Amino acid sequence: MLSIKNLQARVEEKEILKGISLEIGAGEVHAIMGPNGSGKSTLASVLAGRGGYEVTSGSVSFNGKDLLDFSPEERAQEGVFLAFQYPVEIPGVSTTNFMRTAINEVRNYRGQDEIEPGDFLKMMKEKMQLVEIDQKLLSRSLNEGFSGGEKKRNEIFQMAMLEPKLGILDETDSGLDIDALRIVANGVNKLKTKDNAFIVITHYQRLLDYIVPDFVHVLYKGKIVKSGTKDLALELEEKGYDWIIKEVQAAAV
Amino acid sequence: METLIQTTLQNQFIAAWQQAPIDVMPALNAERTKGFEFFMEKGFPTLKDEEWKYTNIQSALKKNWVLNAHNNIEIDFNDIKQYIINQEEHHLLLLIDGKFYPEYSSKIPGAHICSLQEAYQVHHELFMQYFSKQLSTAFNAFTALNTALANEGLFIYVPKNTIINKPIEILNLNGFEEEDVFTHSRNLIIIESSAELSLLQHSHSFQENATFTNVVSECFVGAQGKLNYHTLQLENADSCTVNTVQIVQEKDSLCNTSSITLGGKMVRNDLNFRLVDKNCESHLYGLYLPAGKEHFDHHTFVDHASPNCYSNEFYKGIMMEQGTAVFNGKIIVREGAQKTNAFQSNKNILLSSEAKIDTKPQLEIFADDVKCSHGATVGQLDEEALFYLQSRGIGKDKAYALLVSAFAQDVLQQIALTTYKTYLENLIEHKLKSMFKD
Amino acid sequence: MAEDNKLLESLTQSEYKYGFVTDIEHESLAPGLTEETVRFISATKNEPEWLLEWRLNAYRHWLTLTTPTWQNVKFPVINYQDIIFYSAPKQKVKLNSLDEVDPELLKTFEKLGISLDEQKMLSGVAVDAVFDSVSVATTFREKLHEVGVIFCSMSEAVREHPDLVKKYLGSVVPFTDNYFAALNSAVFSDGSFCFIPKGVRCPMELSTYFRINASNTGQFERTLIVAEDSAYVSYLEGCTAPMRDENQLHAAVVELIVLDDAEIKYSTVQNWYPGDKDGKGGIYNFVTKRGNCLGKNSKISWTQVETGSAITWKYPSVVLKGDNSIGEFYSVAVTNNYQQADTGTKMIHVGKNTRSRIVSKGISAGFSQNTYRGQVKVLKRASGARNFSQCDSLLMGDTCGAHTFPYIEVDNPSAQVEHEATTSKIGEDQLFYCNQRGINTEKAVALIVNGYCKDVLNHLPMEFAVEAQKLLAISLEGSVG
Repeated sequence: MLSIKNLQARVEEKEILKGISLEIGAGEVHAIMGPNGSGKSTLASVLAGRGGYEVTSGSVSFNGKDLLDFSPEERAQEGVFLAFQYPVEIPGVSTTNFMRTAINEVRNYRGQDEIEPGDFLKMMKEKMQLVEIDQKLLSRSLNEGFSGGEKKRNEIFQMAMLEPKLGILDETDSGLDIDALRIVANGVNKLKTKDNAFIVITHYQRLLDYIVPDFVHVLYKGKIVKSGTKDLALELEEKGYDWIIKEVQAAAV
Repeated sequence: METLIQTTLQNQFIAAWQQAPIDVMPALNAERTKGFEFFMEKGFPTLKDEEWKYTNIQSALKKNWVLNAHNNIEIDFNDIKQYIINQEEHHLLLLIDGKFYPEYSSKIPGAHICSLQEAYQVHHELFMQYFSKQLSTAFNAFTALNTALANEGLFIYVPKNTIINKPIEILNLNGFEEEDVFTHSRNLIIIESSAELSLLQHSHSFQENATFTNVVSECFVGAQGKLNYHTLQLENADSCTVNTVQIVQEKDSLCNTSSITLGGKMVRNDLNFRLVDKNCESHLYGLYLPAGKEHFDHHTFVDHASPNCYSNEFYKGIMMEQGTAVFNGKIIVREGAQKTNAFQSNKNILLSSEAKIDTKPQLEIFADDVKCSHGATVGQLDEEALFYLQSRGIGKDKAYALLVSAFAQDVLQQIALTTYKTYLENLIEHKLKSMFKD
Repeated sequence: MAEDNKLLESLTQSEYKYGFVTDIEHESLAPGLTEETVRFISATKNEPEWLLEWRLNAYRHWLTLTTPTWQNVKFPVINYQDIIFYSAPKQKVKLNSLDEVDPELLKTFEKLGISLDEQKMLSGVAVDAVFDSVSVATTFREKLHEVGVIFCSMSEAVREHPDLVKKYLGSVVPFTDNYFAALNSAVFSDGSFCFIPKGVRCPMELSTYFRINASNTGQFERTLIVAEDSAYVSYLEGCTAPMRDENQLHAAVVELIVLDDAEIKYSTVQNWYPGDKDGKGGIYNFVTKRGNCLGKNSKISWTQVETGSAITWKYPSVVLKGDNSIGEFYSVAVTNNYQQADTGTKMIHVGKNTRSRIVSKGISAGFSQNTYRGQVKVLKRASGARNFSQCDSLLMGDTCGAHTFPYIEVDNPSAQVEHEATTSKIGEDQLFYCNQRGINTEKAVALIVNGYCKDVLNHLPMEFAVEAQKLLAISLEGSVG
């Protein structure tokens, strides 16, 4: 589904991603872990097409199409969803209105008619239960005055509404207490099918107790330095990142 | 219509202009002529002038003002001591009716300090480079007159990389003459790159005479330089002041100002900032407490002429008895001054039915990538809080004074000089006590 | 940055869709303004002597005035001798029904989306259609008549209800008020008159639709709305004009009077031709609007969406005389290209426990200048007065300007006045967030701007709100910052 080959990217003059290669197939969950500043969030931003990031080399193919060729909204319309680490506030625009606009834009891209208001409401009700989000919250201004947990649940709610092929969760667990974390993780688990895939970016192993990854990759200084199964995450939890860093340094000598 | 008295004052200006010893500072002649001609053409402002809409300067001018001739005055230092805030912690500079008296002033290592006229001679090049060169606005009557007629004042020059070790306390004592004098004085303060200076300027009436002081201070802060400039006005209830402070900041410089007005019949403070290069930071704090028939007017103007600068302004007012006040804060963000952050807040409480406040915060923005906000409020003391204090056994007047002091604290706590801050707290407490005694 | 600008340019400029001209015969005066012009207008309308006198006094007063210059807008000197002060579509002297209105005129209003055919109207909105200098049709008159509501053109009101007109005309905005009010008082040609008698809640929205058609004409209409004790009315005003290269002057006066416990809700969607993208042409919209809350517990609420006009200059105000009266002002002002707007409000607190609320949202794009100017004045006897003002500016692009000039004058110690203002732009992070959900940048801007204006748009009647939202999107197409 997603094939990243030797991806290199920089912000202004600073090289952040120094050659990342990753293959993700349908039905898979990949966890990307790593210490602060290793390039995890940059990878998410580059995949979603955020401005200010320059891809200097490499390629990203998504279902056979060159993802890097697309504008951010086209990537979304193709089925890439990014759950933001810091969801943005838009005063005066309700989540409901926002979602209806987004869904219709995506449908329009796919040559479908606008969604019937009745169907939309039905869909909302369904997905709301998934992430245990309150209707009242959805009629308030998008993310404005939301607590950290509410913002993150809203992200997962939006993901549920847009039914992406690839969901990227950028440190969705940061700042969440254990209850909120469980709700978010449950939401993701229910959305998982054999046809979609997820990239779960996290600093901590904790989230992976709830969203069990098929693969775990460790990112360090802009490169994937180690890949493994969920056991790798447990090992990291136990020993920290230092041993991997040492391994890398030893290999480099 | 001009009154006879004003005409008399104007005649004195004309006479002074004609008799001006042109050899005092001849290189300034062109600029001075411009100032004088401006004044003769425009005269003093009226209420129709937008900048003087709420301050009736004409009535302040209605008095038999005598233009100050700046005679040398014999001083007994013992009479002056009581006005000094702290001579150990601060360097001291003494100005009598706007004129600098070096013999009673500290020698300050690292700084070049002298009178305006001496500076003209000794630091001529520097003097000419800065004098009247960068005023934010075109002349008004007071800056024009000042430019034309001021011969006295203070010059402070802090060269590159010099950090003045102690705050400099500038004591302005006014009203030494027999008559009610009208004084012009002019200060020029130059802080070169990476130099640092803290000023604490306070003005008092020496006797019971009235004075009208028209002072202009120009401050230049070089790249990476730092200036703290605190001013306090505490003159008697017959005296008037028009105080214009112009601050020009270069790249990466920092400036903190506080402007506290506690006494005077009519006090007008114009504080103008020009941020001419990137990355400047400016803080403006102010507090005014007019009572009796006092009228305090604060005009500030922050001119964001360069990108990436930050300014924060916070003024508070407490109007008592028949006291009136004006706050007029203007922020301009010029075209190209992207990434500007400019904030302004003005909060007022009216404590009497005859008190009055006119506030006008203004924003003019010509760049899009900016964050600017302003706010103004007018209200009263929280009755609920008052009741709360009373229910704990605190007398109503005491409770009142306590809450008013608390309102003022927001501004006072921004002043880093602890001795000065305590001094102010005492003054304010004193002023409030006289208001709220049974 | 450069890319953003390109995007901005590529997206700007959608055509003004109301810019057509109706081909219809006009009866017009020759250009110019003299005492004779005033007499002619008055005579054409068969006005009583007192009104002619009033007009002449206004004219003589106007001659002593000079154009004000304090506002933050720039325009060339207007030569009043080049303006046609009266122009009317030729039609039969007196109309008995809508069937007699020139079909061309009806078509024009159909084209503007304003149906004058009562059968075809979807909802209960009574419309007074003003074409150039005169009212051409007023709908639903019978129905309104049943409940005692008078809704007709100003000319008709002068004929049919002279006492009411004489009592209230100029009582809120005297001709001495300002330059353009004096001019309007001298030469006003028509406008709408509404009278809601005691205890009546007007059963439908009343609406006036203004259309300038003829070239070189000025439009000077006058609106007077009176709500007696416990009456209520919601009034809507809309306006458009053809695209012409020359500037046209629109100097209207609106007066509102509310008595005890009464309320007037006045909504405007102003969409006069704004000029082309280089700033050529467009309407000068110099309007005096003021309401007088005369009665206790009375209320006036102004809502305006200002997207058109080359220059907009108006301050719908409320004088809060009655104790406990309420004044509200909700405004969205959009300027793009070379448009200039200097708009805001005045809330004058006279009575006790009076309350006012101001919400102003300015949006500047292109090379435009957008100014909020407002005054909150609390007089000495206005104990317990409250005001809250929120004035926000949104900038799009770095070639426009946003200005905020609030005047707060408080003379009573029990008053509470709060003013807040912010200036910001549409954040790149907001745009990216929308993009990431599949919404393109142009749609995202419309979404964000509508959200930004929501507090104001919420106060418009439903249909107007929808129209206003569309207008906002059109006015700002492509102004991504």
